[in-house]
Amino acid sequence: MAERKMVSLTIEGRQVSVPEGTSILEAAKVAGILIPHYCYHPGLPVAGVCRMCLVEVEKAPKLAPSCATSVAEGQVVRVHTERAVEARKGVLEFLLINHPLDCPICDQSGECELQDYTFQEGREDSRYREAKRFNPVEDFGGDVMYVPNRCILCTRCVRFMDDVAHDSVLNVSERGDRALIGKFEGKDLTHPWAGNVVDLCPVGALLSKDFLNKSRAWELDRAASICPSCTQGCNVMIETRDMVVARIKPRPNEAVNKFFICDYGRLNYRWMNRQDRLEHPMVRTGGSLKTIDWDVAIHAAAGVLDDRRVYVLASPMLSNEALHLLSKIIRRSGGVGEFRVAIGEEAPLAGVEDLALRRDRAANVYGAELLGFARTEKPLSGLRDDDVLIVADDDLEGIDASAVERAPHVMVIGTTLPDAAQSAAVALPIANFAEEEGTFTNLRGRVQRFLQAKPSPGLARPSWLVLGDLLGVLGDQTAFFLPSEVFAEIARTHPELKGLSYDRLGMKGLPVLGAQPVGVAS
Amino acid sequence: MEDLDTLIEIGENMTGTTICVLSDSCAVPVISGIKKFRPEFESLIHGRRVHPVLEAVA
Repeated sequence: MAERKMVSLTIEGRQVSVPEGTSILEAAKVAGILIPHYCYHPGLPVAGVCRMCLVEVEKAPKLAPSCATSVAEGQVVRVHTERAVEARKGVLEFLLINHPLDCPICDQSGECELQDYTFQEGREDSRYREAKRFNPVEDFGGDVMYVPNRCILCTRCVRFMDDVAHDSVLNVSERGDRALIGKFEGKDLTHPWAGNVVDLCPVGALLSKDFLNKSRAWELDRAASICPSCTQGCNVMIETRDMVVARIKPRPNEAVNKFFICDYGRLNYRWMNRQDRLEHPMVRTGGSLKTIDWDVAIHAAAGVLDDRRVYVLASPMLSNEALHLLSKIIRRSGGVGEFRVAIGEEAPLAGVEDLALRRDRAANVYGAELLGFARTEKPLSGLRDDDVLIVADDDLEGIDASAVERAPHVMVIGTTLPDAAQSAAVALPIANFAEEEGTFTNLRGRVQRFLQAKPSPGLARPSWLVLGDLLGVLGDQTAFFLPSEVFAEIARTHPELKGLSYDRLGMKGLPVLGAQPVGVAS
Repeated sequence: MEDLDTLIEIGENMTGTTICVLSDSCAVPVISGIKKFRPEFESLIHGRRVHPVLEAVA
């Protein structure tokens, strides 16, 4: 690819050099200056309708919309001159004419760009004395609700549906001060990616019905994570309130999901808040499972394993770290590890290359295969009569208790104790995906980190810690105090992951060696 | 009276800062009207029907 010509310009007295064709707004971001804007979004085509990003360009007679003006060599741009600030103040005043003063009951409050910029450079009072325009709230279908009074007509949602989802549902109906976002006759926002319009909306006009009235933005705690709902591995932010997951939002990553996540991933978080969890280590004594101390339970688990061959039924939702330690337990006994994957329908996002809700509805299918686990349609078929069966967070759905009891020794290492595994000799509670740190490998071989979003219930511990302790009792000399140390061992022992570490992965991830680049059909 | 200044200010915000050029053309006559004929506007506001100059002549 030919090098793009670089253009140098001055923004607010700062010299920046950006590729030719960049907008002034993007160049200003490089210089560390955020020019206020509403209609502009880096994931959408430029519209230039909101007029909020007006800046003064030297030698130009009129103020220029910085989102729609390309940089030029030697250009001198001023963002905070009196003329530019006055113009933006005027634009804000016009936008607020019909905007209700209902921030105290608005879901967007606290993460609203209209609030932010009005606070930053708007007027403190309104000169508008007439009655405000009123339109009733409308259900847009799917997860989306429309509050037309709050709409500032930036058309981000319209452009997303037209140019990214390629499913024209929304339009600007009416004109002038009567304009509002409308749906085409007989259509609903039921596209599997339509929920993104809620994130794109800079104000509280498009709201998620699922999140409606659940929490104020400032009450939420956020943790950078990876969506676990399919093998795509979209980068997300898990937002919790009082240690309960309240919603999932996309986290931008140019290499994976750009700015978007699908509705399935967005709304599939309730399992993270399950209350019927396995909370205490349990060991079978006198015919029934009894709650017991971790130390005793780990030693009991090691006693069950002894030198017997193990069969592991793992969950593809486990992190690379947990699966790696499980594979060490398998290898020392000459056993096997298998996993099964729930299947759904594929739903691509047309406007973005290689982005779809994948058929395999589990986070770490590729990672499990890489670490030596075999995908199976018939779980437990490889189970031998004298094996120790380790149920590693598989929910045993569709598996009969009798099939499990075929194994003389059953051990559960999981977030729940499935009914079919009541015959277990030992049950060790582990943290679920939202409660621990780790990595997943997505279908393109990209290893991505996720962070802990909430605490685990009861005495449950992170999976890598439980398995590391178990290996320690079994005689493994490596002690692990952090998930990064487990990952370092994976990188040491697997040539595909050579040279990778938590530090190098950062929060955007890196592909394993030999991974298929994005865009190559599988 | 301050409405005249408000009109000029809003009119100025409407020239060159909107995507639709019709905004300029609706603001310009208002601005130039007020700027060139301010005494007429003011006398109308004060309830007088006739221009102060004409009043003096009559």
